[in-house]
Amino acid sequence: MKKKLKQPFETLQEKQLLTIGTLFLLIFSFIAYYTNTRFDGVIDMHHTANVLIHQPLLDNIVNTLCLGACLFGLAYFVNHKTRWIDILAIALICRIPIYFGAIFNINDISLTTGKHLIENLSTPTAMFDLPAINLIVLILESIYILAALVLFCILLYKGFKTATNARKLSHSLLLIPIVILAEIISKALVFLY
Amino acid sequence: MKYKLPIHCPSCETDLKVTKLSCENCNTAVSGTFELPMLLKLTQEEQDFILQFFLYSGSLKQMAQQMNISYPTVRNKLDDIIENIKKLQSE
Repeated sequence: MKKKLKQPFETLQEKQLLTIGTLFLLIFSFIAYYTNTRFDGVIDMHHTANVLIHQPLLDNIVNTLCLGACLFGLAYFVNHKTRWIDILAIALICRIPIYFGAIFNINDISLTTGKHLIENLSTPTAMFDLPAINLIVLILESIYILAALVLFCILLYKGFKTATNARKLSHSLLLIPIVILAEIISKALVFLY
Repeated sequence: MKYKLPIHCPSCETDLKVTKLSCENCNTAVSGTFELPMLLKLTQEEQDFILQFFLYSGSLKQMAQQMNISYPTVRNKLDDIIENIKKLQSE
């Protein structure tokens, strides 16, 4: 079990990875609707008002497909034998840590904090007008999001290495512009609906 | 206990050659200098992998399922062995 958690792309079959990834995508799209969260980019997540039920689900589908398509372009360049199904599994699995960020906006707590801070940008001491719980959630969310981004990168790197058998450092470094490209494309598409 | 066949000289790392073959039944011995077959130059793990690959009729998918590892991991191992064999062939 430990090995499967540490090395999911080496030990789990593609069907298992796809099932786990899809389940998380569906569950957290639903949770995101209740916590007013939009995933408006491959590595983006924002709490906003009046989220419609289809928006988080479409966000996650668009993000996963954009990341998958961009990754597959690089994977095909690195190794022609790379399969689309393995790349799609990576795109689904590596975004799971980001989904959990939606939980931090239960009862719009993060949204309220964010609004209050933006409205009082010129008076930093106004942040102490907020209840302590809001500030605690803000700190916890900030720490979690950083950890989620690191985990996203680790999963992406490990998955890509397994799917393509990439050994050169340059191939791994190319993941950075590829993720940025996927982020730009997904961001543009998310604003269409 | 199954003894590991040494393929490199423990002293200078040069490839070893077969110089004697003998019959266990009548003790007849043949001497000479023979090259080790290509497959024996691979590591034990690689030899076991090739045997499994053969027994699964070359189905990487079936191998992955039976070995409880993912398909790309099995394919990567095969690619590495192919690369190693090509290197050995060119030596």
